[in-house]
Amino acid sequence: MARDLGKEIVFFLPVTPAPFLPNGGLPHLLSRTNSLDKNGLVYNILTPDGNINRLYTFFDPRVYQAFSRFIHALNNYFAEENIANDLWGIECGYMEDGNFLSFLEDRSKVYDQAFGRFIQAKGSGNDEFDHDSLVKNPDDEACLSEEFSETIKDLYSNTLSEGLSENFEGIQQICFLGSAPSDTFERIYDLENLKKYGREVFHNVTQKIIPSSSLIPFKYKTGVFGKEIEDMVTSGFLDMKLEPESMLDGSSITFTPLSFFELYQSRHVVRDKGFSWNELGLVNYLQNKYGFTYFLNNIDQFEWDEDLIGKSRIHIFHGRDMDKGLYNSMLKIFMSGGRVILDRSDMKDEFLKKMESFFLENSLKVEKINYLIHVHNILLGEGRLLVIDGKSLMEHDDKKKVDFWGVMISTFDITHLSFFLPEGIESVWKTRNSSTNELNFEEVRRVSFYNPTSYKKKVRLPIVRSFALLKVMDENNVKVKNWSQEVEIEMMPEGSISLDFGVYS
Amino acid sequence: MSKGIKIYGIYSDGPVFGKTGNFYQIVHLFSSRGRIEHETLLKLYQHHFSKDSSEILFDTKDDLNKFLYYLIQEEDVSAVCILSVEEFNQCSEGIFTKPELLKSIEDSAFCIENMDFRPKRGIFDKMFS
Repeated sequence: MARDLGKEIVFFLPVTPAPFLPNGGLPHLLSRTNSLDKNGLVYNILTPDGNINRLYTFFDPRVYQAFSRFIHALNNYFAEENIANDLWGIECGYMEDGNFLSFLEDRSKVYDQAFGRFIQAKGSGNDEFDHDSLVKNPDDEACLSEEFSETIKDLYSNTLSEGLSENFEGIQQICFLGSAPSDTFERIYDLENLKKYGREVFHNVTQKIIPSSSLIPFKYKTGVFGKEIEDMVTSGFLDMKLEPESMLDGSSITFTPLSFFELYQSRHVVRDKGFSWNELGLVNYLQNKYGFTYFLNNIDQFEWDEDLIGKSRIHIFHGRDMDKGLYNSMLKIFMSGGRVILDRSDMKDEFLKKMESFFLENSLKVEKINYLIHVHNILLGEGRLLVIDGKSLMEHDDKKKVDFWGVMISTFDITHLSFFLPEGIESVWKTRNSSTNELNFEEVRRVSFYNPTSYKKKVRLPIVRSFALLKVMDENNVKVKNWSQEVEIEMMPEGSISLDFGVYS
Repeated sequence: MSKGIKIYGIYSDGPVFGKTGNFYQIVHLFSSRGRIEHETLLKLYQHHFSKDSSEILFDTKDDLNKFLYYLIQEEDVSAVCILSVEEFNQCSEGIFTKPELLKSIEDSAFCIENMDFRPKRGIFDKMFS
């Protein structure tokens, strides 16, 4: 039936408790121990019709055994019915302080027992195993706990990838808006914090996490919040996540999120001891100056790809994440004409020495700049490598950090329309290839503005060289004045609008 | 805040990461107006407990109750009703709908009344009383 309607079916199979299903997706007989959040509270997930879904632990060995049997049975069913559609494992979670937290995370007694066995197994190779030698302080315990949760997540993911190898495409993280424990206590009073959810959608997209509004009642999705979901997720981003090959096709004229900056960092929040790009002030600077035109990538999923070099993006790495493969890939980007920023703090001596020798062997001139901190700038053809020391930058206050990034990023030639955004207004940029009747332009960029506040706001958009306004569309509760050098948009509460620009050089 | 509004809260009691000893900590505070922002609580905490801290921790249950009393005076609400994490988990058991959960929290929580609270009278109250 789906094929008749021109739709492609994609299967999602949760590898964590699923907040949109009763008992988190577990059959009644396996729903024995409540899963507890980091504060020790049971999860009470509110559904759009006012029911409560409670989540149960996935650390119970009986749950894993049943999951394994289910995968086996599903594989047989797919084979019998000749079902060849793509299947993705989904890790369900919520956002807290800009970080994705998985519903697999648990602090129940069952978890504690399993964690105890994990520590014992870790020490079993050691003849003189002593619990205290492995867990010297609470910090060690937190690191081991994070490692244990990841091991269990991998166990479920690997069971799925091996059991349904013909259909399996990978794992996607899905953030369920309104499912955070703190959201429950607002939603209990029928309060939906749409501004917060809207902000989470933006953070999700920059972290390549799929946001889902399936827990939010439909009546809240008809206004500007629904428009944000439609523009940011439904059109373009979902294709990018579920059909990445289609996006690589040069002839595709589907809008996808615009990205100038590819930031890489570890998602091991506990084990990664260094400063994040957020703490270093870069995320804050990019949000204010360039909107959400960056991706905050998981360094563990970094893979070398020819496509990394193109589209004039800047790749930004932490030196502490370097291993042989990543170091070589970083140099490959630089040598192929790509642009790289490297924070050398906590980088292993091995790689620091290798980098020095690389500069010497290739007779590369290292330009030394002193702006708040020591910065090294290295050029090789079109390639550029900017080396900074994040630890020294942390000695400065937030304003100086933002100033620092302003100066550094301005030295990269980025073609962009910058504007001042009034408080509460959200904006998002997307891009697509130019079509056959737009050959004067190298690409077409779409900027959308949303006003989720209850105040009237004004946005002024200066039109600079290299940009030509093509069309204004999807005007809801807005008034637009188009001058020769500027577009002025008056946005009423719940207002939204999109503008397309042709970009030429 | 208007007449009759109560703040509900959940607190935990136990060790805190990076600190020695046990502490009382507020996990969630909310009312029919939404959640009480951390900044509001921190400001009040720093003012009354004179502590230059970004974490809101209490050595005793009395200190926690005292703080909550300051809060209801500041927010001008009729009461604050609190329950521990364990009590919350217990009262959630066997609950499957939103109204049931709210009622169960209301029934299980320990309330501290705001003795200074005087409900504001609307124009119709004045006309008909």
